[in-house]
Amino acid sequence: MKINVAEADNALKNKPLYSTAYERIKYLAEARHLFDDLPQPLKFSRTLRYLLSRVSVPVKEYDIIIGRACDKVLSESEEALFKEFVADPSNAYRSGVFFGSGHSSYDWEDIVDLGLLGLKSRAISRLSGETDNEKIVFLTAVIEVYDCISEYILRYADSCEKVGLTDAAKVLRKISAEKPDTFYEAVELTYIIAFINCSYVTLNPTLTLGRIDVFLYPFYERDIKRGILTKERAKDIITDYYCKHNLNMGRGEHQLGDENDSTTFERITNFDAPQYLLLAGTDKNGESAVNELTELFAECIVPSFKNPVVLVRYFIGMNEKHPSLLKTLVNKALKSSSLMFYNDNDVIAALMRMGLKEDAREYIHFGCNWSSPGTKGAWMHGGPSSFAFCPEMSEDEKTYFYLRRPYMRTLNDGGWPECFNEILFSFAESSDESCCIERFFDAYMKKWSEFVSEKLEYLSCELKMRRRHPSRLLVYTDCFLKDSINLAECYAASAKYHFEAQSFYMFATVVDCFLAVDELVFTKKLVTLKELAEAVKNNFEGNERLRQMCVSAEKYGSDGEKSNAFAKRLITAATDIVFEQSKPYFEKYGLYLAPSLQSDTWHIKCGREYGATPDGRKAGQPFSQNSRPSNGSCINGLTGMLDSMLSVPAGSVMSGALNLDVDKKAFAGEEGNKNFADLLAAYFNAGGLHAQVSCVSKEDLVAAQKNPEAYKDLRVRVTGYSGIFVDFCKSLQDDIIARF
Amino acid sequence: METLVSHIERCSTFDGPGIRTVVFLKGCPLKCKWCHNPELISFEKEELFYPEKCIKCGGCKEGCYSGARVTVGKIMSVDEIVKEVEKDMRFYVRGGATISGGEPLSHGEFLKKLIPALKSKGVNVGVETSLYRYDEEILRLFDVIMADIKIFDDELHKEYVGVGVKGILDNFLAADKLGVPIIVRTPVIAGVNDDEENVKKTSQFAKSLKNAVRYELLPYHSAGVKKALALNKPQAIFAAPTDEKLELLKKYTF
Repeated sequence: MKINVAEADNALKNKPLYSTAYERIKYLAEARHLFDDLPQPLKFSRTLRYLLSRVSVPVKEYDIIIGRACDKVLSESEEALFKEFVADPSNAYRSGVFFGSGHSSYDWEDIVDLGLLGLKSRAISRLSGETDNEKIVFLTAVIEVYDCISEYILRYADSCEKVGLTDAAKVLRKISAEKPDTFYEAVELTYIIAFINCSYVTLNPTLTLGRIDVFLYPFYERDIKRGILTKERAKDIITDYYCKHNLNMGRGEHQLGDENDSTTFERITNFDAPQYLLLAGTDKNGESAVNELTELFAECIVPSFKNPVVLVRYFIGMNEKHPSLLKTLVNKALKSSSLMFYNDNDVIAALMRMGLKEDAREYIHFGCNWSSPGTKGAWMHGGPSSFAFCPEMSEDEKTYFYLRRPYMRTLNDGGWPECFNEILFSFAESSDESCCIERFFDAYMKKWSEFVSEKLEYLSCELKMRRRHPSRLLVYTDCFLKDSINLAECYAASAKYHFEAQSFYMFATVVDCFLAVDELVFTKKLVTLKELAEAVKNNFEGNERLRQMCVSAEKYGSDGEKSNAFAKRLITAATDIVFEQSKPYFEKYGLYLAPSLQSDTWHIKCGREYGATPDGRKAGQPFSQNSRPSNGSCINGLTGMLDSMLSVPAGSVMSGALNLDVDKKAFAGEEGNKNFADLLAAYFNAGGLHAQVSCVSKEDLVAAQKNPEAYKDLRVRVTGYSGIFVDFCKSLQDDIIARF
Repeated sequence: METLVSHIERCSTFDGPGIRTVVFLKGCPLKCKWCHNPELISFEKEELFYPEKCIKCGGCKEGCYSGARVTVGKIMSVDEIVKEVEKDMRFYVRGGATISGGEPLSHGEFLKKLIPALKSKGVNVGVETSLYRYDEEILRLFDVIMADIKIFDDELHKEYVGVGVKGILDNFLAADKLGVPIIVRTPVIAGVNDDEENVKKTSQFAKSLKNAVRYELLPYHSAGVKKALALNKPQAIFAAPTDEKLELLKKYTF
């Protein structure tokens, strides 16, 4: 297994940044106009077959899990084709043959239960008697997809036989035709279905691999009982499963790439966005779902790997019920593994508050950091690509949607501190003497409420458009969702749930702005509203003393009574609005806004573009990130920060990453592991929402910035994923250093 | 009852077992030349001045916001300290509070009130002391005693710390009779006390104590130099032992 780990490790560190899966480009370029006369579902299945029947099927003699992507650095002529393909509106990704903006999951339990043959039989039986021509086309294409996957698997079986991998060949022949019986077969089937999506079908492979310890456990348990599997062999299978996910991954910085040297979705066709798998958590009765496989998947995590991101569903009392599992996880977390924790008690409560019932308990997670209800095909809005799911938009509709989208995005992507400034400037302008922090609060909530209301209306219009012709579009995800097959409709139109995050971007910056205005203007009266507004407008030029006063005001993250109380009040009011306004849409369409504190890396990009803010932040500086307090605010240590974070009431938000940056000296050795387990368990048992750990030292980060070659293995957590520090753009590196 | 506190640090993992809140009391009778916390030597409030942070706004009298002028020392009551320590109750699974300084035992009367008050809340209480002073009534109240043997040679100790070590070693022997676990520590300063002989003798002494549960080496760091400058009481710069040296000396720890 060492060679497999070393190979994946090397690929992560040294794969050329601009390599790409050329075969995908080459064959999709050839297939561009071959199926122009067919409706989209058949165009999709035929194009996929064209591709999968031609791409290489390489194996190495040490492979356990089969399925390798083939990236390479392009020659001049290949580069020319690549560029021409990417720019061509008729290419499979841009013309609507292959749709996918990631952020989805499949009915994994169903997949391993039925196998490809069972899935096909179900589609055939659904097809019989169907009279709607669009549904017939939809289902026919689905069947073709299953067939071409089977053929592709058989091609791999041939490759295996050629190098003497007879066991793997047997597994592949079996799952190409029948349902899996063994643990190995089930793992391989889930892997290859995911692999096709991530390496060939979608530009954004942020696929969620589901509650893998739960749906694979029956296979594991049965094999162990039958004596045909040992724990050690299971660990090898899992480790190679992890290896292959890393090996296939592109190297680059996707959402981080906001500087000139960034890579792109197009370049990294099997892209640097990770897949996600879930471990632990509670079952439908609220009892622990942890089993022996949970432990094995945790033990096999390789700290230097980036993929898949392991998401642990913590639940209150897990530390006492499963101490050895927590010990393993903490040990991995302190090595900065690609691992994060979410609290079942928070996420389930929030989903239930939205109106979900049993599906809330089966929640999973979509990358980068979005809780999703159940594994049964929730549709998550993914920015402008949502339009692609609306076949046949009229010109009027296009105008309506394109006009509003920029407004939506501005506030979605980081306009909430800017919104505070607007209110500050307008109150300062009005010279209203009765102005007080309550008026600020009301004005702010009014803007928030109007935005939430407009967004829901907008999203429901978009959904209605998608529902006009629900069977005219087929995406890969549909083939693996029971509901899509039963309805013969695309899940973008017919999923049980449709959601988009309503994120309170840069939450801590906004809280700090309120606190500074309240303290300096209204409480201590050290400055007038007008003076503060002027200073902010002028980026505090010539008024550094005032800026320092703003910086010195109490900040969220310091565990101060005032900042904690205000953060609680602000997030409670904002999320109450989201829940309340979502309700009618949820009841009617299953559509809702998911309250969140996720900001991804927008805090850097938006910060760079925005002016100064009353918290003392100068123009161009980053805002606060995700659910985390602003850099430099956590003056009372990690516990002080966590206490502040506990001000966000459990059940109010569904997602929001907390980057716990830990100085490696503070939690070194076995004693350090124990201390960190205490810290983490105390935080989650008190209702903490999320945590992901980067355990490095500031000195290492600074040294890495100066000497990137020597620090190719320095990994840090970013948002829902981790990355190699030296691959990040300079501004993100600076921001991460400032977190310490 | 009140005393002069320099600051309270939460989530320390270096000052005793588990996660701890460290209460730094101001004032120390020793004069270690490498002192890490020179702002804690005086029993009075002091001001640190960091010129590089000064924005020359001319508003010193109205208050400094840039962090250039920092006052060290705040009078705090037992209740105020208890309230601060209680904030991290949920995190003290194996940890608690550590009273540090300065020299905590210089605040004897205050500790007689503070320790029981913390214990009544269920907080494990430790102390970091030089054991230059000895007060049985107070020491027996602690759950763990962390104390330094900086240099084993009496003369050398006198030269670098201002007082001999003999009295301190006697206090260790006395404290050992209290039944409270003791963690023995040596701050390791290159060229001063990082010779094997010194560490070996200290380790042997520590091992002879019934209640010594651990012997630790703490490599020198220069954090005190900047603060001493800010106090306008410049301090000599020492060096940490090399990693190889530290590794060699670690065999004497337990």
